[in-house]
Amino acid sequence: MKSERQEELLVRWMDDELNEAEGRELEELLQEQPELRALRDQHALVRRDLREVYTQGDDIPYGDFFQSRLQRAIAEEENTLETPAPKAATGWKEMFRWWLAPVGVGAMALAFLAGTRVASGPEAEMVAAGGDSPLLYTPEGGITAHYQAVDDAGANVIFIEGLAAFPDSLDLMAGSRTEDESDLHLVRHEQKVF
Amino acid sequence: MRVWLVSLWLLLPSLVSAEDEGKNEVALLSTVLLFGSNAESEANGGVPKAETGHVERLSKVTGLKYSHYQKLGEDVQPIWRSYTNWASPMKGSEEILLSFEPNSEPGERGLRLDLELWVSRRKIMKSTQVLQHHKWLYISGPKWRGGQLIIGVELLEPQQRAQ
Repeated sequence: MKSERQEELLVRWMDDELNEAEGRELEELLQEQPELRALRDQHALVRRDLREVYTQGDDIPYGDFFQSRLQRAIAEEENTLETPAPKAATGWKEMFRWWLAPVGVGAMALAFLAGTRVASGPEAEMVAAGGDSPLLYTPEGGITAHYQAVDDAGANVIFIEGLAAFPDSLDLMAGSRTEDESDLHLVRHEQKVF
Repeated sequence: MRVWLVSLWLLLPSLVSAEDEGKNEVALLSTVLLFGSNAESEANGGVPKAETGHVERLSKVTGLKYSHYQKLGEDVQPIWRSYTNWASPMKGSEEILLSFEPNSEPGERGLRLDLELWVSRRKIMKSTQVLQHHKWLYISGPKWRGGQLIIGVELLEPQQRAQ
């Protein structure tokens, strides 16, 4: 069987798109490489779980964050795949190594989407309301925030540290305002680098 | 015919806006700006005392415990389904602002909300958390005039607007 034909069959087999004749054609290859079945099962599992967690039409939550993580994972996979392959590897086997990348990245996407879906579902709201700390982000360097649930007060509190005091001359009730960004109200530090 | 067209033209904006479900109110956000101090501030004379509920709650919070609490201002704003909205608890001032948008469907016990605190027109903090009905969230603000500004946030049902 020609290498190009093997690749085509493998790709379509992974996506459950083979017809009966093609299936018989591929069987010959699978008998030579039985480990391919395990890899296909792994691929199918990730695909099924992704469909369960993520329904088409929904917006991906935290899209920017997700995309950056995904790009990083792909880059890492590419670096791994750029290492010299064993000389014995054939063309279709080389191609097949690329299946490892989507499977790995798919698993990461699954974990991420599962987490966000759990976090945004109504049941998870109960869990979060029951005691999980919120996500807090302070973009200004030198300013930190932490959360405290004060159950006996029936309240939750976010404490912000590092915030410079307003000058006493500032008349909030009269609507007066601070001069500009460099005045005394905030301690300016370098931006955090993530 | 011309009358029909003119009428349709006039009605079109309201029809379009009526279709924008993103502007639906999923809840209300009540915000309050409090000033806590250990001495009755003469500089803030005429400012009303904070409601008893705030005093009772804050007196149990280590770090925000003061002998006097005054209410500098309050604001109630809708939480829209798809849009960011702003609250200005100190009316006429841009020094303390809150921006917010929902992060989930409202549930029986609350709503997951993205909330940002802006101080002196700069974003200081962003939180994503579940706000529960009947449970205040307090945020410690800047020190000022020997005391401290405290921002209070509470989730209200849409029908609580008039209360």
